[in-house]
Amino acid sequence: MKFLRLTLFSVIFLSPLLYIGQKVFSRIESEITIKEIDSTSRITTGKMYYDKNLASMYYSIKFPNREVLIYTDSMVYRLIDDKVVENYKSTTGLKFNIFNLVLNSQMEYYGLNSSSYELVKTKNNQDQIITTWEPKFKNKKYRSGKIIMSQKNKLIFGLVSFHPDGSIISKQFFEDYTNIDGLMIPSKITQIAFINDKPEYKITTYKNIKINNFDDQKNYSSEFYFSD
Amino acid sequence: MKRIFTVVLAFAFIFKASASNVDLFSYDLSEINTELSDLEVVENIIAQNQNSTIDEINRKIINNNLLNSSFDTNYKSSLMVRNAFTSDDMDWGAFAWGFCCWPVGLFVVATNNDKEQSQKKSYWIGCGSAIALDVIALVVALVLDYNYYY
Repeated sequence: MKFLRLTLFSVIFLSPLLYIGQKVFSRIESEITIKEIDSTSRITTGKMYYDKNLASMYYSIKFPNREVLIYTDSMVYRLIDDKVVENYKSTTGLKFNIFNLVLNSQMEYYGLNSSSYELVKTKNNQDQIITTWEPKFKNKKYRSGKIIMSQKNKLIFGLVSFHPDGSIISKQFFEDYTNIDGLMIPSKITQIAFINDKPEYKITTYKNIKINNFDDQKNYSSEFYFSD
Repeated sequence: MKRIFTVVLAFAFIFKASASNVDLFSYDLSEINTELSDLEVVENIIAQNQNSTIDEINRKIINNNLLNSSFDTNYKSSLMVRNAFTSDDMDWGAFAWGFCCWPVGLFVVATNNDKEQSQKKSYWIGCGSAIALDVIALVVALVLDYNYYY
């Protein structure tokens, strides 16, 4: 009987203590700069706000144009002066967005372990752990190739996507990790896409990353305004 | 001798395989150094002129003599760039509005803010197809008429 009481006491009063100290991350914001180099050079600067509970990512772009871009799971909207001037179906959604992965603690495998890909090979290579992922299902219309991922110190370092014919589509490198409230976030992502055999470079940098900023409500609400 | 050769060959193969995987995760930005340094100059100009208008920033970028190459300020944000319209993007409902009844479709699709860009494009493709077919039919009718009377 004593044992039963003790068990009941533990379950009722002590189990909530397990959740104390376990932080819930739902919001992230950052200054963002994207430098692109292919046949021309382009730069995009602005600020990004993402609340995973609202499932919307807002970009307040300052350059090359003052505009707001809103990414949802299914759509992309472009707003100028609070009016939608362009919209189209999102092909990628937010699932594999880096900040969605960070907030959902899925950065270790880039969300591949809960996707339509399966781990087929793991290999230790010098300071890197290299894993190979292949699509679980073969779709005749939308064929996907394998993905090879490299991790350094349990953090994703590189991601190489292949075409089904074996050629490389793109390489992504995640570097300059910063620890923000216990979350390891890469502040520089270099992407090299191989389109028409000529590499296209895209270097994205994140600055002043803030987690769970609940003071600045307007930037996370559905009524979005330009932020200063 | 044959065994030794096989072992050496196997080692060479393993070494090559591991080397190629490490090579896979390396990159070299040296060939875009000039463009990168130019973009860094542009980034600094933007950062130093936070309160300026886009036109003022563009003027400062163009007039800046520190750039090694010309910089075109007239482009769309990369976050909004999307792939070209393909047959997979075709909305056949919107196409039918353009093809069969374009005046109604103009209000239902073309000027409707709730419709996506791909639906609007499909509507205009529908309109274009209808006009092209009309022109062909008209030409055929004229030729037949001409042959009938002369």
